Amino acid sequence: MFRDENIRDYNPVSTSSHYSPNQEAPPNAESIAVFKDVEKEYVIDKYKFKALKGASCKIPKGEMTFLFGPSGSGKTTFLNLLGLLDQPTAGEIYLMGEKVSDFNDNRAADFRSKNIGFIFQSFNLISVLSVLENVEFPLLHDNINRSERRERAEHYLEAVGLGELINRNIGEISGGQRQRVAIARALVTNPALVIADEPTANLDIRTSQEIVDLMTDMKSKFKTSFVICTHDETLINEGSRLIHIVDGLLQDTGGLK
Amino acid sequence: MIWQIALRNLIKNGRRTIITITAIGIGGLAMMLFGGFVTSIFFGVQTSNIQDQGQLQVYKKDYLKFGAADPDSYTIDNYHNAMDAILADPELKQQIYVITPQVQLAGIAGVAATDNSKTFIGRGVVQEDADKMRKWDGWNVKVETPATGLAGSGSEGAIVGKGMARLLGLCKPLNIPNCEDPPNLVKPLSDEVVDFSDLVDSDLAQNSTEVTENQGPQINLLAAADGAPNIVSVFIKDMQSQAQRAIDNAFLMMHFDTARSLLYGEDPRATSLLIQLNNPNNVDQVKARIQQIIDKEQLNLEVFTFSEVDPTFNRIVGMFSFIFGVVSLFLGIVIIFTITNTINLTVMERVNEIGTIRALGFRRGFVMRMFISESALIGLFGVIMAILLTLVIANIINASQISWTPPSNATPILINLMVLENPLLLAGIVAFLFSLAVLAAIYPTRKASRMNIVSSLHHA
Ligand SMILES: Nc1ncnc2c1ncn2[C@@H]1O[C@H](COP(=O)(O)OP(=O)(O)OP(=O)(O)O)[C@@H](O)[C@H]1O
Ligand SMILES: [Mg+2]
Repeated sequence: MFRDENIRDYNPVSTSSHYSPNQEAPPNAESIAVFKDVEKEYVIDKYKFKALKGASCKIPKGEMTFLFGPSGSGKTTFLNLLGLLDQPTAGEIYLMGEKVSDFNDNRAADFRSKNIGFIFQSFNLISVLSVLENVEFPLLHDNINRSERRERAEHYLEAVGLGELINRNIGEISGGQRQRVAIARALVTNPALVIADEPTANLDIRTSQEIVDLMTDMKSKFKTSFVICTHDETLINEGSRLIHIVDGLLQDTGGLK
Repeated sequence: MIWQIALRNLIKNGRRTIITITAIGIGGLAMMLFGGFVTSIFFGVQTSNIQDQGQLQVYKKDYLKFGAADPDSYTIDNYHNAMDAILADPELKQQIYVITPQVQLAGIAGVAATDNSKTFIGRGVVQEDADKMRKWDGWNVKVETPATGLAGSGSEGAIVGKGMARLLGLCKPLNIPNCEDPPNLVKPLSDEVVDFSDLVDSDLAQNSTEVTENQGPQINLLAAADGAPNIVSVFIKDMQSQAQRAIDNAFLMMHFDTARSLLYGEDPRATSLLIQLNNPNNVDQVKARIQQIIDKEQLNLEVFTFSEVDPTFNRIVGMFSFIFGVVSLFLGIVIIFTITNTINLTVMERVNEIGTIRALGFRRGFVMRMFISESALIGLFGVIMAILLTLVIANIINASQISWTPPSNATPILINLMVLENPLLLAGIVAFLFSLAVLAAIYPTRKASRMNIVSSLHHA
């Protein structure tokens, strides 16, 4: 297996490194993900379109990284590759020291189930399941018995402030609450990386800020790395890492706000 | 939790679910009712046959191959011997309900009063045995073969087929409804007519003109055995319709001893032994045991099941099984389309959910399991519905006393659908429907599980 000297084994116990403001991440900082000349080309009716043009960057571990850029700039494309939902047309992606860009479908699925949590713009909860069951759902992977599943799900629901609503149906809670359920669901498997694509786009400004604050809390509490994409710069908290993307090209990778 | 999701989605799409379940339920109902009908034919026709012929028949070796052309060379020469040998076995003695000799014969029958005559195909049966056999109902299917009608008729009583009665001009003398005597009674009906009145015993011939209340019209029978013709007079007691017209037109049943002595004089010869067993379900063992004894005693006989002697039963069962198969096939196709359509709709509505589940790290197989569970539940409920509907409707049909005439019967029998009585068939139909439900889901769910994750996540 290929091993970049900058990519170390993922160690969930280690604390995140400290960076000084307005500096590039130090080259020896621990990275959760490394992109090397990653390209993504879409083909529509023989017409080829490069949505990502030679992206190289490192995403630091245990931090909040914001990916921002205008609509159509390639944010979702980037996150899909990072989350192993799609494969690059060129280049290599390393996650937690493993070269993941050429995983087959099953390996990618298994990797996602262990290491990656997802938060979606439109929450993507399973409508026929209750709040608690939605959070339990990702634990179906691991043959965990029902009571332990419940316990863990309740723990994360309390962490996102929904301890009182666990038995509600998804249709009976607000958008902000739904996104909290989704955050609990993303965290319940204790992943190293949580990916959120426009998690606040369907929420009002106040709720949006609450959700971002919650994710910041969760990042510290569970030592999880977050990569969040947004086109709303006002949401980006102080001390977060920034990746600016324009027209499929990464700029200012790793700077601090 | 997969089952919970499946069940809740079914409830959420209640109307569609009910339609799909109903399709399986009605299809299953049709299969079960028809299966019950075929089962009742299977047991009913068998019972009719067993009541008439017994389960097993013993013949002289090679009778079935060559006996038809030369019946007299293929008789059981001392039927008492054979019967005694078989009944000497304690095990067989227990199994056998009736063992009785039978003579099959053919010849010419002439009505003494009219000189009208024609060929006949006849059986000579031991009346008490034959009537005992006709009461057999080992499967409790309530099929009734009417009694021989020979009881209390002395040795000279006989029964004819309805067609035979008509052709001989006995409709009026026997008071047969819906039966018309030929227009020219005194004229012979066929070229085969032989005037053998001078051969008949003179006192028999004299009392033959009158139809007496006790005896019925007199018929003279001419038959030849071993090249020697002989004649006997019988009195027609009644008529009994036979299933096949050709047989009905020539049928004659008489007392065993009368038939035997007509052919063989004093010799204890019989065409066959009919054996009826108490228990219809161990025919094969009993058959093997009888053959063993026959061989040991060097009797030069062979034992057959009734369906080996006459393949009609197998053909009837084969035909109905074939129809059942074809009907099931088409029902199955309709059910598959209905379920496939339902699962397709469910999949289409849940593309985004599928993408989400895949993003959460579940493999394709999990997605398939989710939807197949749903289909399996539909199958389960459909099967339950089919069984419940069948129980209700089969009971209604059985209670409403509808009758029909099976191909091998002369008289109509009540329809008695045997659904619960055939648990194997029931289990087969249930398994068939259930596997249809699961199989029908495989293609759409496979497609669903292979959808591109990114594009399904973008699906609204
Ligand atoms: N499946 C696809 N096929 C073809 N082109 C695509 C596909 N997905 C994205 N694109 C194109 O790639 C470019 C980048 O798309 P992407 O969705 O990554 O942008 P984005 O930054 O997430 O935009 P938004 O802020 O609107 O979500 C766009 O021009 C888009 O039209
Ligand atoms: Mg996007």
